[in-house]
Amino acid sequence: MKRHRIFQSFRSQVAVAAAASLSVAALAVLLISEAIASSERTLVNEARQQCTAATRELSRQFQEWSAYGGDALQELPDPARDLSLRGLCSAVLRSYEGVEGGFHWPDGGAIAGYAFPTSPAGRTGPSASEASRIRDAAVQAARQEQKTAAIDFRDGEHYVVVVAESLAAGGPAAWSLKRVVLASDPASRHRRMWLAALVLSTLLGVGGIVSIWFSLRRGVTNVQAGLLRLEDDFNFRLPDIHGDFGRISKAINQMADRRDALEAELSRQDRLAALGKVVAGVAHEIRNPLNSMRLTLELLARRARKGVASPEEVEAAIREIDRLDLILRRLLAFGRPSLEDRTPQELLPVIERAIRMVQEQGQSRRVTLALENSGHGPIVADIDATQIQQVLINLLLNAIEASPPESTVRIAARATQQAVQVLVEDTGPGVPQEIAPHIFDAFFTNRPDGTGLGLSVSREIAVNHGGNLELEETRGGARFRLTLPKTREGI
Amino acid sequence: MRRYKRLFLKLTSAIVITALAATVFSAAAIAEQRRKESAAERALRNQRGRLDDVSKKLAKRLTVPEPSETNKFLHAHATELIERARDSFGDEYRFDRLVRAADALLESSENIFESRQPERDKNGGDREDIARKLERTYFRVQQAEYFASIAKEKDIGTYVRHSRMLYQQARSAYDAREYYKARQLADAAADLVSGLERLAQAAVRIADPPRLP
Repeated sequence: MKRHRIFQSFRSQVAVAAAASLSVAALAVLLISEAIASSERTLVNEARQQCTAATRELSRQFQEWSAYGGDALQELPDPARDLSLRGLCSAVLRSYEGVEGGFHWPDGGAIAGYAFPTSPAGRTGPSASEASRIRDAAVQAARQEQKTAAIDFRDGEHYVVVVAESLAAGGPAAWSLKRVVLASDPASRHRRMWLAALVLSTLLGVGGIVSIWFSLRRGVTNVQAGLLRLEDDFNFRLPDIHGDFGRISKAINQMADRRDALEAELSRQDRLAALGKVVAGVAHEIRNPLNSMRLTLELLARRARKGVASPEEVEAAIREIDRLDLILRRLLAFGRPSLEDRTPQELLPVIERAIRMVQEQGQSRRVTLALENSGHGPIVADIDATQIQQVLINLLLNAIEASPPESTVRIAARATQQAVQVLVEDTGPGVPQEIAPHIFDAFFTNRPDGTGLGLSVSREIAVNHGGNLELEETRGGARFRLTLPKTREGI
Repeated sequence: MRRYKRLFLKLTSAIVITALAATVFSAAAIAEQRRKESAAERALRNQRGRLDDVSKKLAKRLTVPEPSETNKFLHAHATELIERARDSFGDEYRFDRLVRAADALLESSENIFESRQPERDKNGGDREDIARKLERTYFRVQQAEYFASIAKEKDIGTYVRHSRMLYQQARSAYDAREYYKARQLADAAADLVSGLERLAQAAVRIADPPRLP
């Protein structure tokens, strides 16, 4: 697994590719060099065989000299003897392409009868170094049991093969010579050119791989560094880079620009949504006291017409107006909810005030509001009474609206060790399961005239107090549980 | 008086001794000159003898009835070579090569003549011997071109052409199992090449041997 990860590394892959290229090139060079050396060895061997055959034929023809009418060589002056031997060699070596030859005379080491009939350049004799090797070969041949000797040597660009055969003890020797042109052999030259081209192309390929590696590495490093900085600094943009990575960095910069624009748009939409939420909340919060005031004032007007109006009813209307003013002030500070009026206080009076506030709505819908107390002394909680009353009014109005006529909405308060709980339960159809998870979302409502803010604001108030507002499962109807801390330290 | 007498004797002795020495030296010089003259004369005499021999041989060949084109060519060139040899008296090497060349041409002509003799009267040897001879002759004919390139003669190409033609005739005779004819024609071809070789050798300049101080 570790090895697998290693080979996934870009650096490792490039290294493997470069190593593979170099290995292939090295093997190719070795193989081609071996092929060249092998062909050169073959050429030398062929030359040696050719010279051996030519020398043997020269020797044979020399031995048969008298048989086909030649004059006795020892009676001829040197030039005439040389001419006759040249004729003999010329006829023999005509059949051996590239082979020259003659006879080596032991007295004075003279070379006689030199002929090179297949020479295109018309050579007149061997070079000084070749003549020296011919003498060596003739001397060696005279000492050998088989009377033949072969000498190979390199002479500049040539590889020279000399074969000599002694004709008689202390007498002349026949010799032949062939120059194997290794370096300037056309086929060899072509092979060397191909070899050089192969090595050059391999070096270029490896150089290209290394260059690509450096280029890609630099590009990847730049892009990685840019992306890391972009995570911290949204205003950062990758520098301009040439090539493919330039397009990548340009695309990243374009994405960052689009993200900035999108975030700006989302921020604007969030601000608009928040504004709409505030506006809807204001309308919702104002509507309830206004309804309450309208009902109180209508009742007051009827009683005034009968002459039985009481100051308590006017005071109730004034209190609603005060509450309305308070709500407006709170709504103005919606984004900065304050719990500066939070104090430990008894909860039941707050519940009773809330019930009184919605009493009219309950009566108009013939729904009874029943408060049940556990009866174990006062229930004290650290709350902002106004905000908690607002929460309870919201819950009670929802329960009244959901309850059928002639039904009862039950309100219960109880205390636990660290918290107090207020339960509001109705006998309505209840909350369908599919919408239960969303009822506390802002602007979610299943009523045509609802704003979707009542439960949302109520839970926010409860959470701000360190408590919670939850929907409990019941067999029928809906039951909301408001949990509030007894002390400021929370639940 | 005695004094004059002794002086006279001394003077006379010196004169006698000087005269004797001069006589001895003169006699030696004359003897050496005579020896040299006799060697040159002998060489000349030898050359004349060889020239006479080859001339007689030529004369004999010229009497051959119905000579072929090759015979005529050989006779003509032998005649020319004998004349050139006659002009080369004193140049022993050149004379020798030219006479031998003429002799080879006449031998070739004689072999051609012999090849016309009826096969049944002659023994040509077995087939293998003839085959080996033809092989050697072929090799010899192969040398003709080289000798022709050395010998600077006006009609030299004809030598090569005739040598090849004789070899071809010998080869045909061999195929026809006329072994005697094949042998003679092969010898004729080889002799013709030998004549050409000697002609080429005659064209090679031989440096004079060093003289004694």
